[in-house]
Amino acid sequence: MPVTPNTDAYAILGYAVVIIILAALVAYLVWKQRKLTSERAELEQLERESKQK
Amino acid sequence: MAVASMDAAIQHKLPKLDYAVSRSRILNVLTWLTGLGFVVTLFLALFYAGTDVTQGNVQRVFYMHVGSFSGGATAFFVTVIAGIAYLRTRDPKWDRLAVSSVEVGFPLMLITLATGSVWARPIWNTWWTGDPRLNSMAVMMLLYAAYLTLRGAIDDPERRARFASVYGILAFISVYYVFIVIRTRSDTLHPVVIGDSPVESSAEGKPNLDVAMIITMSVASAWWMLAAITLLWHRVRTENIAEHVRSIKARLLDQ
Repeated sequence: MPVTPNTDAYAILGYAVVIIILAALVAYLVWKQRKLTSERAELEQLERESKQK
Repeated sequence: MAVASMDAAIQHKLPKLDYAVSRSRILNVLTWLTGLGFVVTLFLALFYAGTDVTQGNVQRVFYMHVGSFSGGATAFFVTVIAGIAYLRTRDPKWDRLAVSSVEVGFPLMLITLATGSVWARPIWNTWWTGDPRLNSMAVMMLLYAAYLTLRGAIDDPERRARFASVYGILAFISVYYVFIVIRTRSDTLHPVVIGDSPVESSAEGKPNLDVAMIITMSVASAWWMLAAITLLWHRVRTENIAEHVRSIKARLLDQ
């Protein structure tokens, strides 16, 4: 197999793909967990208020 | 009385509202370990392992390519375990674990597919070719994408969980096939990075791994498996909160 010419750009692209997909996954998890936690707190508050009534 | 016992049964099936302190602590430690492991893996892959004489720096993509497959396969294997556990116990927590593991495994496998394509461009001179490994990988991705889509099409939670359990168990056959296809088929171009290949002469781009490269490959694979477990744990936690939100909404609507 002949020696491949400069492949640095593809290496950078490969690692960029890894970091972008991982970052998107982590960001999605953080966003969803925060959204649900605040929604749960609001609903619990609503539930408490309706019980008091 | 009957209503009270039903309520108790429902409560029993729901996830605990707040995680035990010890469990949160383990997850925190695991998260920090995963973050630290990522830095170590990147250091090994980019600086410790030597540059492949033939392929140049693009060979370093293989550490992520092989590793992310290990992580994705770990997550999909959890789907199988969760599916079997659900079919045996009918406990919804196993269904939540199953869907969470697919949602984590899918992006990891997407990384495998994308990094493979990036590597193939300079080595095979194409982004994609009709190779048995590549095609089987694409089929596997479609099967798991269908898992997520089809779940949304079933309204009854019990039926959805039962269907998803069976589907998740059967879909893992595709993961196993992707793993063995380059070790059994004679018409593939894809190299076997670790281990022997029946088509060594026709495989294109097999790196010659020295000790530093093997260490890096092993650490990278271990890290990806750890990352899969950590992400999965966080995803299950989110799913448990979502289940609570649904149950509170149902209670409020009943009032």
